[in-house]
Amino acid sequence: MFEPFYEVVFNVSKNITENKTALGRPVIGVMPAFFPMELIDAAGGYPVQLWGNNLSLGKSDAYLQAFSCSVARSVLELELIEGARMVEGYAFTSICDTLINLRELYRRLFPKPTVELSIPITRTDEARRIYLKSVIASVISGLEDITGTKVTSESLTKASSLHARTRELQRQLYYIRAEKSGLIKNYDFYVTIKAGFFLPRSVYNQMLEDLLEKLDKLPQPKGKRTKIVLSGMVFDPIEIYKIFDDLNIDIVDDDFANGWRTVSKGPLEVADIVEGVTSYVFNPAPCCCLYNPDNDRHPYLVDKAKKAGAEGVLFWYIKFCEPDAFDRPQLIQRLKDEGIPASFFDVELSMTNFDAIKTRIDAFSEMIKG
Amino acid sequence: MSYFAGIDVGSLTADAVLIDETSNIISYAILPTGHDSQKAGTMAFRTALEQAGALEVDVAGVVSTGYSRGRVEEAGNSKTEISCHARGAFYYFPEVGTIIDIGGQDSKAIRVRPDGRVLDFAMNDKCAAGTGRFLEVMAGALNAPLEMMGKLALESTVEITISSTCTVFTESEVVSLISQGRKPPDIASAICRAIANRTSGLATRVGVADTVVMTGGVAKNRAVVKMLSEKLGHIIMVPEEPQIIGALGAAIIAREGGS
Repeated sequence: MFEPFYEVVFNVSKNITENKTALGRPVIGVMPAFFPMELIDAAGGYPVQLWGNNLSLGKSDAYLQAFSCSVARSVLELELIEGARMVEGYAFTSICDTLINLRELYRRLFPKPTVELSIPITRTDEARRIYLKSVIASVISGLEDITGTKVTSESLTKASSLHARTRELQRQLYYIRAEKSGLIKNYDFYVTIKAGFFLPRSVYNQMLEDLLEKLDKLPQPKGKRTKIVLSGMVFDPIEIYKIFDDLNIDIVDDDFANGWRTVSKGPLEVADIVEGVTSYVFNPAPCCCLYNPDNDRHPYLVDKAKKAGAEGVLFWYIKFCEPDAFDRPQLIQRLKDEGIPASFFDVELSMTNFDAIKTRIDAFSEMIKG
Repeated sequence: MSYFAGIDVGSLTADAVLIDETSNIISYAILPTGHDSQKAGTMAFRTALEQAGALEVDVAGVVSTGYSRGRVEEAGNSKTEISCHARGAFYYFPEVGTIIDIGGQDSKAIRVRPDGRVLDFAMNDKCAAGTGRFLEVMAGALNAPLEMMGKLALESTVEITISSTCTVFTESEVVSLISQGRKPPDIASAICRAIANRTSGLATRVGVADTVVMTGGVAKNRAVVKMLSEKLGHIIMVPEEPQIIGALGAAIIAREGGS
């Protein structure tokens, strides 16, 4: 059932190149996180999401400090070793200091054009609206320059519908995972979500529809399994999910920036694009990288764990991700105060040995079981 | 008479403990792990059997633990060292609330329930700094036997501060202090204090209960135990042989059915 998704995830360059040729559209690399890819599709581009890779880091060390996260370092490495030749431009957001500076590095180091959706820190001030209006105009203009295609209300509406459908189908997959715990292996689940980073929406949507149809007919497997929720920015390295599978632990929900925080987003409202982008970025799930006093992460995560019937919450921390690290101690304490066991482990995308991670996950599972 | 065994294969040593049906310790063995962790576990198990005058068929259950727990052929089940240290420390000190285990390549703080099971835990999340390997490297830099580091540190008369964040940087600091003519006891004391400082932060993350027990090979270093005790403001209990506590806990879990 999951082979087509595996084929994409383990042959990324080949798939992007083939799809680029088939579509006849320029590939735009989308840096984390929450860039509305609808804008790229509406401009006639082919968005692919770059959430890091497992390259051995070498050249990027000349430009980024060792205490930058491995997401930033690995995507820079990819460009420096000319591993992203098929990508013709980049779209950034300003969700953290590292990404803001990374875009500046790209502007200076590479000839490829970049656009940046600079997200205002305030969500309610009128200044935000004025500022964001000019930012979105600049982003659309930049994308149009790359693709040579004008964004129209028609193309925006079509792109919005296409991407909304993707997230709707992904949500259905999330619901099946939660309702039929154990039916989808953790590894298969995240390979399926990850494949969506690289595929054109129309192709990916069809693959998801086929998969959901098959899964819908399958019953939930019997047997007691440990249920947990994961929280973090990036759900890689995906090899770690094999550890969860081996230990009979089911991830019944997640709070990843490239998981549920994105998948849960509704359609991009295009009638008023400034309000639409604002709503898209800030809603519905809160994020450590976004200031949103109306949507506190503490009760949100407690509620998520309880609704999922999770026996614990594990924080999947990408080393040196400061926004995530600052939130974590308080979130863990809040969960513990609510009687929900919580712990964390830290990872780097280039890591190849998972023995220490296995011990932490195994110990957490033993702790939950008592 | 049926026996139960626990085999703890860590990065530096492979330990085995044999207990009887009422959890009395019959024998134990501590061997260097070397490059073949599977063989080391087997050898530790056989040595413990020999010391007890027992055969493998006399052993009703074996549980493995430690980083190589999955590679111990004799084991019917495996448990993490976190669960095993909790059970082993509880065996000696039923009132235990917090365990600090400094092993060869990592350190852990474990909060324990009244029944000896794990309530919470934290592990060092950076590198080898503050672990047994850290102490071993520093002993090498000082040209002092590892087992003498504690005694040496307690002879210190002048307090020196060194960094505790990185084994490699700290080794450079130690070499620099030697070249400055600083006395080995003062440097050894600074090294032990660095471990105590780092470990106290780990313990604080899970909470320091009234009764603190220290396990693992570094618990044999009296200077680290003393400094950590002062840092935490608690008396720290150390089992008679702190290095076998993981294997002992595994043996107890084996006796209880292995789960």
